Amino acid sequence: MSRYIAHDGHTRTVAVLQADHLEDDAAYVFGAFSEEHRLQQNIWRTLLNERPGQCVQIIDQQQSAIRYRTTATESSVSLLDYQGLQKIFTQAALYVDITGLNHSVWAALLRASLSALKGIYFVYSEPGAYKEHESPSSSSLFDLTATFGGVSPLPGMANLAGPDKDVRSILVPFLGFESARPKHVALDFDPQPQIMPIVGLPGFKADYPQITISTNNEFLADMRAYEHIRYARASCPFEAYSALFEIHRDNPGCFLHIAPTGTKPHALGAVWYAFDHPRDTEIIYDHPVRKGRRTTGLGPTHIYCVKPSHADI
Amino acid sequence: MDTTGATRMSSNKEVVQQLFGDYRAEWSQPDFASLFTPPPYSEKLVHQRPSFLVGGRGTGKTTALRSLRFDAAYARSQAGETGSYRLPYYGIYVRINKNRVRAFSVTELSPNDRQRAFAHYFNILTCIELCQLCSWLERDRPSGNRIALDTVAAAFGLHDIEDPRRLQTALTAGLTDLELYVNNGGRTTPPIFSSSDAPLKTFASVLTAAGYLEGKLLFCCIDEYENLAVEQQSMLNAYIKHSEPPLSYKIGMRREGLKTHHTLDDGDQLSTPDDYAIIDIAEERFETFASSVAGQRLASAKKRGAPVHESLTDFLPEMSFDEEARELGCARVASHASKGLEDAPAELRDWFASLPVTKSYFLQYWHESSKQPLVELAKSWLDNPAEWETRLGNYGYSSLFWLSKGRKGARIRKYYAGLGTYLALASGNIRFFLELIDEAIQAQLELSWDGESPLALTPRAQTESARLVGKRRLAQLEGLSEHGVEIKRLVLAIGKTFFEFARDPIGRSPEQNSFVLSGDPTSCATIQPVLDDGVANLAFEVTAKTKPTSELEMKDDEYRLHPIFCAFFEYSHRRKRRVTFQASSLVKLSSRPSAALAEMMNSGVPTPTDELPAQLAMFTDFYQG
Repeated sequence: MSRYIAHDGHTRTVAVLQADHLEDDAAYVFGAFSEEHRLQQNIWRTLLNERPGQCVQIIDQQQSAIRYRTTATESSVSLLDYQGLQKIFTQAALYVDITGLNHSVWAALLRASLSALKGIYFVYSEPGAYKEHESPSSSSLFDLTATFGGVSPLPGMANLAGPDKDVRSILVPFLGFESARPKHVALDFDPQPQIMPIVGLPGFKADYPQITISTNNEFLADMRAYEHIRYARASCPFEAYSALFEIHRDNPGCFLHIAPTGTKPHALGAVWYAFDHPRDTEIIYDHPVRKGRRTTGLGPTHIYCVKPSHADI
Repeated sequence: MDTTGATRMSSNKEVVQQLFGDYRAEWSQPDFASLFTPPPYSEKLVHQRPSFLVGGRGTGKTTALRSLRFDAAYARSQAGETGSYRLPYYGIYVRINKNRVRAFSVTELSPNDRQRAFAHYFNILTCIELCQLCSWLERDRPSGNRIALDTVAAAFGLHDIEDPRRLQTALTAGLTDLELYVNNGGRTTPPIFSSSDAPLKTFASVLTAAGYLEGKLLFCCIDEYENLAVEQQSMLNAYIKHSEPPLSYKIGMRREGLKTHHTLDDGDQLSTPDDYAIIDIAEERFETFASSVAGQRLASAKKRGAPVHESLTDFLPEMSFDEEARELGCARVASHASKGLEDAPAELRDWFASLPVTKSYFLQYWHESSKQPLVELAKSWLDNPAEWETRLGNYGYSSLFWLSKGRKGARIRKYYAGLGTYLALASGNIRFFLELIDEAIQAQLELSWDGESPLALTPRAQTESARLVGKRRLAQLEGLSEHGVEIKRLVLAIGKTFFEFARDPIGRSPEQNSFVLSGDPTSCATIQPVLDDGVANLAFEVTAKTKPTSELEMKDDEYRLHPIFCAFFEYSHRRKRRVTFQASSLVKLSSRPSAALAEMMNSGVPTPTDELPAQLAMFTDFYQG
């Protein structure tokens, strides 16, 4: 059976992001430059020089607000302030580099822009490699997270009602390199719902899917979830969206608890899907605080055309 | 064997395979009726006074609270426990969902609006449950009186609604309005907020007036109270403090889950015993309860024709000291000692040869421990048999852990078998207890069972199960809380240290398996929240210190790993002696575990990697990192 891909073919992948990959009349939103190689992209420094009036740099990411800088101002806005966020974008099109942004931040930007703008592009740069753990205490090989903020809704995405008592629940964790995260989300349920994990395949690198499976082996075995694994390209939010669509299609009437604990492109697809299906999904997110220098090098950069859906980049 | 016989055996295996396997699933209504065993604290729980039921995940608090819900209580009554008309209460059940209640904390509403919004949310949840109770009462337990809910609806600002089903629909729609308000940080039109506990009290009055609560209590069961923020607990603490019959609150939470005793009124604290009772599940005759639960399962298997021992002690046979010593290779050690006495006088050799190997091996143990010559020790034993009997009594159990030292590839280095041992390993946790038995059954079926003779679980199957359940629990640790990874690293290090102490008890007090913390205030302050979280999540147990050892110890708390880890780390499950760990060593575990472990062991050489039990060797990267 051929897979239904939401907005199929709307990803452009480039080795190094350059100005001519982007539309001229657009707002460019990106995070602070940091010690990770992939968060020091020259493109944004160039645009800050050449098109400063179109750049919005997010200089501080808080739990439910951001502080941002433009040529005109340095200001704060709440991530729950739908209209306040929309005021940041003055152009018809928007590029958001989500590589260095927290889920809370880019999810709020997605929510605010979806209905307001005609052209929405999200940009993500893969790392060259992840930092290995020097003394791993589990099957997680990489040392990525300093601590967790704990499970709480992404700003503006709380689902207070949850599923009705007689509705079947399915937990869909997106699996990554940290086995503790899906475990933590799953253990908050009592009793356990059915678990249908999604694994990034193909991965950023050839061996990443295998590492993902072996890292999460205990979780998959303990939750009896091996037979329910689904796959979506690790770098593709559209495939992630489609995987959720397929789970809903195959389990009509069910409520999806979606844990975007895998790759950021998967999280983008998951959050987008939850926006489109607010009554029968909820996002469960654990808000990790990332370690500095957790990645090295720079992999390919993806430009996802979220809107318009008929665009061909 | 004929076909009928083969089918019967296969069917028997299926029955026993599933007998204890339900610990991870939610019971269906009929199962609830047939499998539920009232816990020893049942009577306390259904008392009119509000109560806090305290226990970790798996201790059965959720099952106990759910058993109070009207439909579950009714199902039990149908199963013959008691007639429902005689049930002295009706209950509703609300579980606090962390992801939802935290929505009120990440919003930017003013503190006052946040409180009002949360109270409204809680009122909606409870009143939806009460609507379901009303529908059920009118359908299944009609009194002839209609339940008119117009006053309850009015408390939510709803008009022209009397019917419970319509009110439930309206309240569900109200949740959506509230969600919109919270998700937009109060920028949408606010819904009409219900005021504090007024809707619940009104509901109770309406049910009383309709004749449904005559002589009955109305229990509002709130589970996972620890998921509430401090300000949210203050709000519900006020509900509890000001509750009056027929309404009473039954709260389920983990240890230390009550973050504040404040109520909304400054200076008005929720206090025990005035306002509520505490029921600590760990102190409520767990042995009797667990044995009763397991016994009921065995009886049900027997009823279905499966051949199992009905007596738990026969089903989970213990292993005597002598049997265990033999299985662990005491004969090999005794023979080693015998060789060491080759040059001793004949009388001494004859005496030694007359000892059973389950005793004579101990001479070698004491020789290695004390570094005294073997011949002198043998003479001492011959001359002072009573003294050596005492010594064997004090150190014999400890020496069992030493017996298999150096036996590379030994499948079992210490047995964990018998009902008493399983109860000790579960340590108040009914889910662990059922899981231990379930895995032991699976292990036994793998090892051997003909399907016809009465099933008893061999010490080997029981031990393999104990190790597996410990391993599984260890794997779960990192997911248990935000501190999960740190807790797991603590457990791995402390477990390994006690393993080393048990394997090489020479020069140490026997059975050291608990610890107190000492050290600088900064390190103590860093590690304390992790330990506290570990206690709440049953990675550790804490008890008041028995004997002071120095003034530097920061708290009167003595910790041990939860006994469910003992079989995995192969040390004694018996609560015995403690050691002191420096808090700075425990802090160091996050970055340099090998250095931290060296400090924790204090002296002695760690077991070479190739001699580690397989389950510990898996963590070599951590231990050497």
